[in-house]
Amino acid sequence: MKRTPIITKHKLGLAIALALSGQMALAQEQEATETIEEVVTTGTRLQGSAAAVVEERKEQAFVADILGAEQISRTGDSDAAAALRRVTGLTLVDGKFIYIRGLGERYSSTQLNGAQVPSPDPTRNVIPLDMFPASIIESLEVQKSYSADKPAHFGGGNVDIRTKSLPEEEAFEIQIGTGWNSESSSDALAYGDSNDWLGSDDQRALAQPFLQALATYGSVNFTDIARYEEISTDQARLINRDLMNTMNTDYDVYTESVSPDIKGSVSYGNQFVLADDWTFGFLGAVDYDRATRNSDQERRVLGFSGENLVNQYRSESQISTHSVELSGMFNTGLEFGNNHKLETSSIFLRDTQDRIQRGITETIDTIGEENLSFFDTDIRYEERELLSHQLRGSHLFPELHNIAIDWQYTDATSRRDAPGNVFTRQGADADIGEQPQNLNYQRSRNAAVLEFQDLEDQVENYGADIELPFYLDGNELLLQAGGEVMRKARESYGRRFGFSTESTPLSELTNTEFSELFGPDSVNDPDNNLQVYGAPTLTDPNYLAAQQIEAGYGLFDYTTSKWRLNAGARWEQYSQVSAQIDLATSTIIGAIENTTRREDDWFGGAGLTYFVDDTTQLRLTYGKSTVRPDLREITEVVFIDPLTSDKVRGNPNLISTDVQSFDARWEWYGPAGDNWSLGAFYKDLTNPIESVEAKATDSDRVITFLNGDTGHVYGLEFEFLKDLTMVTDGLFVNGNLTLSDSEITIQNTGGVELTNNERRMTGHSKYVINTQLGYDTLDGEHSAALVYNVFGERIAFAGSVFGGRGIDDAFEQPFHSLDAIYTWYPDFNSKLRLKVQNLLGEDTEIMQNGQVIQKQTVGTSVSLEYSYSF
Amino acid sequence: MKANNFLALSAITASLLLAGCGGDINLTPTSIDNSTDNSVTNPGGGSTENNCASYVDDGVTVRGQVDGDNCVYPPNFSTPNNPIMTNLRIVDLANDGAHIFPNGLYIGNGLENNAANIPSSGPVLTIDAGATLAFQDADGFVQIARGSRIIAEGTATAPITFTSDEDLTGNVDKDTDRGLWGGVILLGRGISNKCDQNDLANCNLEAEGGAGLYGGADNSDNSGVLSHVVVKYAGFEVAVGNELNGITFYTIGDATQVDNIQVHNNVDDGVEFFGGAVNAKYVVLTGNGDDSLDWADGWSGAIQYIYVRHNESLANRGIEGDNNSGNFTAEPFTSPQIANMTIVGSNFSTTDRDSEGVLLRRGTQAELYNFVVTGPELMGECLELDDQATVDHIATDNLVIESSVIACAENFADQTTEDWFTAGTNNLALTDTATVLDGGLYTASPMLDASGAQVSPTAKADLSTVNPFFDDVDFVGAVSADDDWTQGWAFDLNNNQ
Repeated sequence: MKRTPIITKHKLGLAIALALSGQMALAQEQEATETIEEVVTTGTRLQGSAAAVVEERKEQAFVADILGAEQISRTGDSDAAAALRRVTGLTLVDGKFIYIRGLGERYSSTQLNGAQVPSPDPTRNVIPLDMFPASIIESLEVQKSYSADKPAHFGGGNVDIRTKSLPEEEAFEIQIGTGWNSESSSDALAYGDSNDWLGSDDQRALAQPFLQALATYGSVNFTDIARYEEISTDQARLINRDLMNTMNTDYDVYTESVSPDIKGSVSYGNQFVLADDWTFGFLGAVDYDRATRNSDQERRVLGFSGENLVNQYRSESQISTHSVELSGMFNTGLEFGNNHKLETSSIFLRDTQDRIQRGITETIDTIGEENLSFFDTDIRYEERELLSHQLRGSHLFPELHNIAIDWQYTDATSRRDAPGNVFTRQGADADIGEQPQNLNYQRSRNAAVLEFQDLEDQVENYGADIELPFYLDGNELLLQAGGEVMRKARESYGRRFGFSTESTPLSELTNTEFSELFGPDSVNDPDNNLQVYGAPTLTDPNYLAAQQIEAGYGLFDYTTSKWRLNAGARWEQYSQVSAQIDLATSTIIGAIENTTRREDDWFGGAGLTYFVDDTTQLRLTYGKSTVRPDLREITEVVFIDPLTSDKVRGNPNLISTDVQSFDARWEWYGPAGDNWSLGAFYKDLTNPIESVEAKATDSDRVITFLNGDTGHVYGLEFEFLKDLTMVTDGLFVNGNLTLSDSEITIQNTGGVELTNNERRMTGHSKYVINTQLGYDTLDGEHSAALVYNVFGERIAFAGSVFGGRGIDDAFEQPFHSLDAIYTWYPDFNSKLRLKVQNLLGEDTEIMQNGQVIQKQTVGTSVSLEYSYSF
Repeated sequence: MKANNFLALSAITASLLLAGCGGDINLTPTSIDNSTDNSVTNPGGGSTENNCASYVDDGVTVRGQVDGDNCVYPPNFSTPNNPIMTNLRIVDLANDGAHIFPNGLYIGNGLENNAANIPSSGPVLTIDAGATLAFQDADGFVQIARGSRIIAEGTATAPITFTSDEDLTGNVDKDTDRGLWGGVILLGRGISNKCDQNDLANCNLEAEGGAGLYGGADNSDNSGVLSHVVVKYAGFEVAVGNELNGITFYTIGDATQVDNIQVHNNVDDGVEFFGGAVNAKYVVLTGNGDDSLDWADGWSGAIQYIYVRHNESLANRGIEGDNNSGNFTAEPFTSPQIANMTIVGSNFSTTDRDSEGVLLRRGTQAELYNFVVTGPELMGECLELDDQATVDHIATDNLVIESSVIACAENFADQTTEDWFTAGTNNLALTDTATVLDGGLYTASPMLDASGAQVSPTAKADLSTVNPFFDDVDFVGAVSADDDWTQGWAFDLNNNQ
């Protein structure tokens, strides 16, 4: 038995080793189809870009869209997420996640160069696509119907991000830019280190003596110190205060004017002929973005008093987010002739968000009281990183019946590190909408709560595909087979500490700053009796989990002059295990056997394309795939969702969703890039996973996950590109429209009582519209576009019954996004781009029972970029 | 006592074996406890008999170890995920020895969410009179799951104590220390108005802090006996934002017997009732950091003789009563009956929190008889009604206060509250300078108003006709000097320091 531990990291006394036996007979999938060549049909810029996308689609056996680097740069999108908005039936959520066909991000999956990579965001099982700057993207391929060469975890679609391969010639590009948002006219909130340039924490993390104390005592509570050291509690409290003094207290929030955004990127690549037939090349790129955004938020939680709605909670706050995005990429390639190519690809991405939220909160205890409320300060800092190394090869053997072999090996690590997140609640002598004059920290065990979370995923993924083409009387048959192994291991740790003011004189708590109250001078004053508490608890997100997928597939693709048939089957075995950890004792909690699962199944897809004539084709596709719960969703720990602040509890009884999809599509390709297509789709989901509110006691709002019984999504997609030369030269319009409906049936359980047991799926929009009005001057020196995007209302969270009365589902309201982009190409090497986003100044809004329960300003952004290349 | 429960760093290696050749996944934890001091010494060569509690699991006996006069239990003795599923008896140890638990004590499966799997007669935890249970981990708590019972029958001379192990050293401050461990949680199968009333039997509600599941259809469920039980220094925050109450009664049925209980210096509420119908008699709540008595979600039980005293370091309300937080008019309504309650406030006062008397809100009903609410000058309002859904119960006689005395600097929060009190039979509003208590504990006899004139409250007659659970009494307030039921067992009261 050969053992290959892929993780041997020791941390806080924990190690997890994923050992394997046996060898995989089959290898994997990889670079899906061939490398994608650019197809530029006309000399116009925007129109050519849009036309190229549909040209690509024409060549695909399945319903797929491909955006090339050229298209992305032409439309001026800064990252992968923004670029993907151009694709039919896609919805962009939070500027990060792609909803395909109006379905939530659960139903979309992401690959990087054909490999599965971990998500750096533990609250999502997909990769936030805004982390991939446009400059490193070679192409984005969106496949919306399942084929056997893709992982079986496929819901609404799969996005494959392909990073830039080797340059054809020496290439250098430098880009600088700046930006501004209308909300930035007010000052931003800031504190201590919130302006770090690199987005790297050097202040918040727990100091070594503190970690040592945790390891020694199991907690930092004075009682545990006294017990271990066999000293008096007074002495132990002194040790506790010394430990408290090692913690960062630089959390005084102040305001400052907002600096303009800074963007920049540099890339350089070249290739060298080493010897006959041998070519070596490389491409390196660095991208940097720094921005500050302000937003005003209003929130309410509704309850009932008989028929009447009452506010149980209200808040008005300002949010300032300082973000730094840094990415680097280095690729090399070695080519032998035209038939053999070896490539390496290393990618580093960092996305650091430092978010400060501050404002008045009225809870049930203060909402009816005059001149009384809370002043909450919530500082959340998180670094998300992804580091991926990949080696891949492609080989063509003309001497062996043109057999082609592609293979890849990928090792990726992603990490979310969120040290020193702080929440404080101060009493305030004002009501909502007023300026508080006197603030007092609470006399409490948790006058300040500090959280430290660290999550790391390690993924190993390898596989190969083999293709064998045959030519029979002008017809073409391609046989393809492959295999893949994916292993993922996760470690998640969370610690929470409270600064206790239980015995602190009230005078010290009033009208003071964080650093003044919790800084060394105050801590060292014995009269203040300050203490830090923090013992790990059973519901902290401390767990280990691992997942393994082994897969093999075979498919064929048969093309005649009149039709094309593609069909394949895939077998996957999926194994999963998770274990909760008690950090105080370094033991695993509970019976691990109960968390293990292994299932294997057959999946597959088939597509038939009928070439009606040169301009028209008809497609029919069928796919059978699955949607599996995320590791976190089946681990029974409580996690705070950073987006919603709700407590989220995993459900170990979740099972995978079976998905069956049917697509039909009529496509017409005309002259001058004109085209349109009309598609119909139907998806049948068995045991769909939905997030729902669990019945909890009083102050808690706990979100959990449940399998519904059935779900359906069906609809029509319409897409078009129309040349408007008859109006004026260089003008065109393109766009897409998705009309769909969904239905899910989900039963109440003893702990979940939903208002609507039959409703639309969470996150599903009945309509999505994307349109672009583009203009290119004939000399190619100017191009401009107006882009409009809107989605229909969608369920943000499902309503639950409270005491016999059900509150409605909460709907996120349509957001009318109108952007304008203008680009000037003064010469062959340089361009200047001006972009205005959210011209209509829309806000995001969630409504429930006819009332706005959440509203957040977005503002209008303007950015200017200059780039020079040769 | 040598600390012997902590595992050193690197004490555990979790191996994840994904065997490729058709085997199962094995996640094999191996604990190497290299810090445990196994050389237990018995000073003085005392008793050789092991009196520590034990149970048999899969043929293996799991038992605490004798350490001097104490019993020390292993960390895996019970956990929320591996609770004790058989009967367990905890005896009174000689020489005031204590049973020391490294984490908590978990009886029955608190996480069982399938009502059909909950045994009708689950494991029973029996605690002998005089026993002391001490808990080391801050997040450890005592959990009695649905279908399980606790039989803790102390006596006035030999009460049962639940406390932090730090308390054994005498190293705690009885006025300011709180939250050194979790608390006592009883999970029952009674009725909550948060449940689907058409499917009560399958109800699963999440307890605060993820402390288990509760709920059901049986308000006459039996969770055992708590008699002469003192819970001290508890209320640690066991999960984000969730401090525990001293004793939490989660839908506990009225076949459960509760009398002579005390919660002292808890971080959060003293006792809290979520639904259910359990009754209690002789309750002492001292120094609790939040509300002393809290109820919600349809509790319909009764309490007679309940004494609340706030201290100067941290306090909130004497009573905080709610119906249902999400729907103020959820049914069945929360409708407790409380008789003979004394609330003594303190000068604790900050912008957002202070020592207050009685707050009834979010649509609760209540019948209050023979109350004495008083406190020093800085104490906040002593009686308050919030929310129209609460006030609506006055007209239907479902919100009643009678034969009660309020003697505070700020007696009423508003006019509505005052009108309600004034209209009640035999109510008496005095000021904070009146003399209504004797020694801060006993109901003064006679009472004197601010001018020194005698006033005579009239006790509610024939209480036993209001509820057969009540005794007929001739005094208002919790404790009469003639019959001091706190004598002997209650902690830190003026009578027996």
